[in-house]
Amino acid sequence: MQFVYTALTWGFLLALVPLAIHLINMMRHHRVRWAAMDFLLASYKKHRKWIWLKQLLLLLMRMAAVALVVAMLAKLVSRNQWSALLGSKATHHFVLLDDSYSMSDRTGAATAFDAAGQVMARIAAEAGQSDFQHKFTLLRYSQALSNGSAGGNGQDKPADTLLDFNAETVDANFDVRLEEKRRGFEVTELSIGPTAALQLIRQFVTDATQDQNIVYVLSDFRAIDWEAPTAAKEALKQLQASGAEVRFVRCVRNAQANLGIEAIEPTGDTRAAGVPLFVNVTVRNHGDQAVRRVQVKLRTTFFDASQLNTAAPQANVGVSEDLPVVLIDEIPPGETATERVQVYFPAPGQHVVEATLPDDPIAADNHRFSVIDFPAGEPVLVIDGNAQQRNAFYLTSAFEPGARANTGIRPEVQSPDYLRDTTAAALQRFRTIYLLDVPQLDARGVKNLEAYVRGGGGLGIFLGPNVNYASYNSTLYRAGQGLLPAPLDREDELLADPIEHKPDIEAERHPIFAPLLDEQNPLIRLVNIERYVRVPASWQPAKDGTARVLARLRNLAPLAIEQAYGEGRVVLFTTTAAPDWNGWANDPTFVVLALKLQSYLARPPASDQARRVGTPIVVELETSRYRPEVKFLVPGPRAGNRIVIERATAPPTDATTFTVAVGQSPTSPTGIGETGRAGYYDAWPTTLEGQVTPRRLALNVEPREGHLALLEPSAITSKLAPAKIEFSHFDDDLGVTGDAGNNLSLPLLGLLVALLLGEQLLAYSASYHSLPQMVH
Amino acid sequence: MHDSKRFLHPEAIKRIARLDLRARHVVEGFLSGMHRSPYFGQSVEFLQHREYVMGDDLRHVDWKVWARQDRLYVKQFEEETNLRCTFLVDVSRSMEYGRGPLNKYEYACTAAASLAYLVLRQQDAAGCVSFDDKIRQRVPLRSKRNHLLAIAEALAVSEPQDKTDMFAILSGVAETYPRRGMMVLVSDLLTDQGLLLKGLKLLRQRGHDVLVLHIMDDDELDFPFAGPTRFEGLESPDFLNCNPRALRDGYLEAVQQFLDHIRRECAKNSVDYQLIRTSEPLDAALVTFISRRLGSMSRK
Repeated sequence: MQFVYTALTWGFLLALVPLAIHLINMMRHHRVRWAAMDFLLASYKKHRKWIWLKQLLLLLMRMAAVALVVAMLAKLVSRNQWSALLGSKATHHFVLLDDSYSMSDRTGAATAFDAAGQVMARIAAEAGQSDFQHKFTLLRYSQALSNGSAGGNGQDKPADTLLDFNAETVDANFDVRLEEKRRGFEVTELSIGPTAALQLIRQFVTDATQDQNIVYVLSDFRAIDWEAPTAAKEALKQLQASGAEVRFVRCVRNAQANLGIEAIEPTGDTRAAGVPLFVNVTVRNHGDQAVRRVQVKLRTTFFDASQLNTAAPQANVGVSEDLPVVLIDEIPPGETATERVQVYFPAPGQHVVEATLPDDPIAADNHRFSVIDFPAGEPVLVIDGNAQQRNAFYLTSAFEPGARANTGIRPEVQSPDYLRDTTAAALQRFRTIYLLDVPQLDARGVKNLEAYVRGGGGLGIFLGPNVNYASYNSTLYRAGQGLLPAPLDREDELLADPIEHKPDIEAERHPIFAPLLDEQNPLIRLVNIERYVRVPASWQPAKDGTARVLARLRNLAPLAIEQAYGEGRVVLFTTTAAPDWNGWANDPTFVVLALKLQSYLARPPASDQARRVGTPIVVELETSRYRPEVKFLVPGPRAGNRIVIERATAPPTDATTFTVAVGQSPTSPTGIGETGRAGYYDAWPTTLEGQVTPRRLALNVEPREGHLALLEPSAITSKLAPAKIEFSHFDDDLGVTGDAGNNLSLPLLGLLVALLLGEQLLAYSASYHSLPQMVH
Repeated sequence: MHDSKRFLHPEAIKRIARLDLRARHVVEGFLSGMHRSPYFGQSVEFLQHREYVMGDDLRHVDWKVWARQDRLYVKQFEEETNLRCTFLVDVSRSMEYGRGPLNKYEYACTAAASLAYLVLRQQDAAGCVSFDDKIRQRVPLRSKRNHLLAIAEALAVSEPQDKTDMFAILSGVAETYPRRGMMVLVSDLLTDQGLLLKGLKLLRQRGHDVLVLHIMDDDELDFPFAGPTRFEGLESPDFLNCNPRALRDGYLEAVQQFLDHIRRECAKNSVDYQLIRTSEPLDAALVTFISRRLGSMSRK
């Protein structure tokens, strides 16, 4: 027998209250001066024993009733005798610990993660003091995430190795072991919901149906974690179907305001060493009140490839430079503010831009990194069908205006045969390809181009008098399946309009034409278009939005048409690049158009993609060129500290490439912890000749996790209905040992009712009930 | 509905302070409520013959009968006076109890005074003795109308005190009043029952007509108490802390046994007995008295 709420057992002293009332009543007798004492004494003498017996019984029953009420409130439990004969029923505590970075929410000196740790310690301590058998299983969210749901290589870890404790028997020393284990826990920089942990723990709960299972979810229960809880709901449903009780324990008191850097994104302008580049820094206000005068510190780190120290990888820390602090005047609640800063790197390489916000409750989203690949120049392939390469002349003049004005674009002019003779892989080194008045392309050339654009390349097409429309329609357009955004009909002349004097070009609002619109640059109104290639009148842009007219002529015939193709883009101009059919190339706006067109079409470098903390870093290497060993430099636990991880993969004999990765190894004890910190990561593959070719990319936290708004318990339970959830706060009494053994509350209630009925009957029998006309 | 006895209710009597006025009020109210006046005849004529027994006065031997029948008979005559009525009023401490308008003592005094007034009104002689463990006040028998005042004063100055020693009192009265008459005992009879009955028997042996007006409070007969109560004896140091509801049945049973015993013994000794509640109108006492008077006349 045992009480769940042992503190309430002091209430048994209340059983003395009926005795005290009885004694007080004895002292508070109503006094009557009585004449017929003889009769009264005779009656008393006759009934004295019965009266005393009934009074004693009544007093004992009242004391017992009070004691029963206290026992019910203190939740008396007892081990079932029958189940004890078959083997005792243990209570198994499954604890799911949220270690996503929102748990680092700090209030005073303690974080939500600390509070969760205290809850765990309390569970262990209370279970350790219990007379019953208790088991303890602990799973962190981050460990559950490494069970393959991180999108890794599909090689899941054995599930039981993910547990910090696996059905560990809680004994007197368990709290010490738990404390030792807890010291090694820290909040990750991951953004993890409860679904993976619930799904993983489900199989352990299902295997332990012989026990009384309680699943504790220790988390902060932010609103973002429960926006679409379908999978979690299903997991909870299955947990409860297996007989487990689910308790949610919130480890924060309330939501705090928080700022987070949401993105550091280079603008789409051409990037090259020695060319200034604008970078957009976006800060989100997760609070419910506007924030003013937000200071954002920016730092660039320049890595000089010529100074690479291969002997000591950790020594390659680059040259850091603090940029002027960016001041954001105001960020409305729930909104973002974006500021543009200019960065400059004199030499090519993968350089780092880092932004930092002042300290607030969540530190993880106050830092963000971006690795920007600055090549020596941006190689561009220009294919000109004109024998004198007139078109290429004007375009390359726009790309390379002179030595004093570096655009970073490095055009390479080739004849149409080049596309036929090269390979698709060889084209990958070009950021953009331009076809200028190319008469036609053979099948191999078309295939190479399509592979290039589908892979993310950009293609610009200018027409001209040499273009074979039928060939274009059959090979490049292919009834809408090819690269060409629209079919070509015939060459036509744009008739002059001496009456209205409307400009020849009507451009849509688009990044290519943005600088030329409105009154920013009125010179485009003076551009004269004389001839163009008409598209069939029946042609309309596809409704799925893949094709779009960017500019039209005065007669509404399309002048520029854009089409998305695979990962890349194609932009078609229905006139010439050279001033044969128009006077544009002689106009200053042509330079702006060419540079914007190049920026728009250029494929963004891979390192610009938003990679999240916890995702594996996979390096794909050519078998014939690289050694199987790769060194990875990952951020260490302290700022500026970097750790070297060496990985090797046996190169396959039947494949041309192989991959080496960190952050997904199923056998690694650190698991996703290898890529668990925000920062920039280096991979150092080595060629067979011994040359190191570094690759760098940045991993950042998921900014949404910094949104600290809490979901009300009632909202959570209604979202998860019909799953039955018991919701409490970290400082509530969890009643850990409450359901160990069998709850005797119901039998006690029955006994109490019977006792009260008996008490009434006995009180009536003992004449303690007043009758009408009685004198008190 | 008009209540002809509304002036006899204890609540109404309580408002009259003077006992003699209270007695007049009771009797006049009682008589006005009756359909006919009671008959109080008086005679000095021969009543009957009775066989001589040792100790009879030889003066009353009817010698003519002896001469004819050779037997000794004595002649019995009506009393020369109409009625010699003595009221024995218990003023012991037990009579002090009462939660109604009149406690037992007040009720007993009022009843005795009323009856005295009734007696005096018929030119009969009335006297009074108030007692507890001994005689406290004694008013001799007189038949003057204004004698009521003396009786009332004697009753009024008596305050309840001490216990009742009934046999001593009754035997004393029997000695004090050798001439036969009517003895009206007004008491709660809460005394030793054996001695009480012994005393009543003695009075009867002395030729007195004995009428017992047993005055009891409603509480004593119904015992309506509830809740923790401490009962303290009025005439004894006994006390009892109890739940009265638990003792009620036993108490009522004991009271009933007591009343039955008294009633039975009184009947056995030709003692008229009437139990009167203090909540009842006072006419109950008068009715009992008149009934007794009529009964004694019919017996004669």
